[in-house]
Amino acid sequence: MTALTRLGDRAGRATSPGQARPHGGPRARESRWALLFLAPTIVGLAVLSAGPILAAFGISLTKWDLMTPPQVVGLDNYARLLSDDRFLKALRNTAFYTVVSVPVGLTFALGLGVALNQQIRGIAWIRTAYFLPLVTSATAIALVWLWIYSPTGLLNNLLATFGISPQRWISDPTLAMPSIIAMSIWQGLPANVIIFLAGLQAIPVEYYDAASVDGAGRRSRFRHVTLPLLTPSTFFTGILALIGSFQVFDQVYVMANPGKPSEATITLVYFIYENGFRNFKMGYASAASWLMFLIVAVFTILYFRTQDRWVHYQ
Amino acid sequence: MTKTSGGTTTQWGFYTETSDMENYWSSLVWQAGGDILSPDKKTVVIDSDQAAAGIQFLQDLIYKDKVMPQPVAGGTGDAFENGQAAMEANGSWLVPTHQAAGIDFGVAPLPKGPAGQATSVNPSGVVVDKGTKSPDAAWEFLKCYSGPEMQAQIATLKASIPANKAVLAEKYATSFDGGKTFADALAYAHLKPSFKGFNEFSGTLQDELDTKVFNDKQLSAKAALAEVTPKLQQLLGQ
Repeated sequence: MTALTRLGDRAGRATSPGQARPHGGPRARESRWALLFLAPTIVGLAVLSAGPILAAFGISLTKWDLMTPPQVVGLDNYARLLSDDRFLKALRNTAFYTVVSVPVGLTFALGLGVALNQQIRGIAWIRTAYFLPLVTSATAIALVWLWIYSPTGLLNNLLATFGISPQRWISDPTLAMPSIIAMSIWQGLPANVIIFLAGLQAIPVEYYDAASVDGAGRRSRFRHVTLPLLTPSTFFTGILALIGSFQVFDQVYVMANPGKPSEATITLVYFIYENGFRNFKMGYASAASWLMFLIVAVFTILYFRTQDRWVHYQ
Repeated sequence: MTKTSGGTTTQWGFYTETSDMENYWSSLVWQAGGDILSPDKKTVVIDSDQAAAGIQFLQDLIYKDKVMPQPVAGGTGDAFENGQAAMEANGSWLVPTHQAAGIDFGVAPLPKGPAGQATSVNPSGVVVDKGTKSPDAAWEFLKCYSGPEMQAQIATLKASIPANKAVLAEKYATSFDGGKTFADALAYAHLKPSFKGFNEFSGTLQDELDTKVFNDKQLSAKAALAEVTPKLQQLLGQ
């Protein structure tokens, strides 16, 4: 218990039970200060997040092309979305993207985190090198990878030395999404590596020592000490990666046929952008964004529910 | 003009952008006697035999005659400007960029098709909002903008063809080698279609053509157009 809490407790017990606690006691004052400091964030969330989210629901019940006044159409947009081929394709592509990029990305991040956790010389430089994607703009990354994946680009030239014929990484419908996923995994590594590194370094050495004394080898120590104690980090990176991957947009926008991703690469957020800002169907786009919100919300709630079963907090 | 060396092409005879109708393929459709929409703009007619023949010609240039590079999503960069293609079919707006790149080029009219000459023209216009609070000021601006002085200034940029006929004949046609060819082409140019909902319409059409006809040889032009026309007709009806 901190000194502050003990103070508050004593103040609470200053009056005998049965008497009302005085207003403006230290506890109440603490709450007011807390509220004051939280106010900017609360106002920001209300105005910049909650407000637009509710407004989007309102718009989703209308047909609005930004130029003429909106007409109310009720749940018509939602009904049409569920039978829209392109929307279903976007949903499928986004799901595929999530199912592949999240587990693979986190596995690589964990492996990299363990590798970077060593106390070898020059580790600071090596870590810096791996953190570069974090400080580079997503658009710049996509442009460079566009060149790497180009039919006459780096990847095909490299494969040519092994006698592999040039592939059309972005145009070929079966290769396009995996290519974008590979790039995104590379891009998302540093953010997750940092969290895993912090998690790894927070594991008390005593646990490893105790395990070694009991005769546990490297693999066993990893499985029975490292992994369980890393579950909070895994949980955290997992939820962020899950929510983030549903929102994939930058990569698709830059890499796919400019302005017109094909059926193989269109994602949910791109679908929303395309319908809202290129086809001028604001109501339709808002309905799609609300459906996406509901899907992400459901997955997030389910994910949090599983917390008790596999996350061990120290 | 296409040169190969050891199985790979070192120089292409021809290059064009396939990812939008106005660069070349709509001209091919009109030259073949077809069209994208019926004259009353209510029916999609791009699946006609003539229109399909026009687009098939372009697919053949890529895959049968192999005189132009295979297009990719995201574009390959202008092969003509990179010195990798000997000829290019594209818009007059590229003249200033090609000149700035120092390319030694001339301009010729598009070859004519079975139904004669055709090319695409797309106005980049100025629009006045119906509900504007200052219609008179807007009108004054429009008058000035379409007047000889402003149009002459626009002509010097060479990126757009001036709308003012006098300026077109005197300033634009004579300002660079090829200006007159573009100016004369207006006589047989078709307007690029434009209507509310065009973005979605052309997006759907172009997506079909890109994935199945140009970037990849999955279907013949006729088959692809037959596949996409019902969807387009539905969009048109909305």
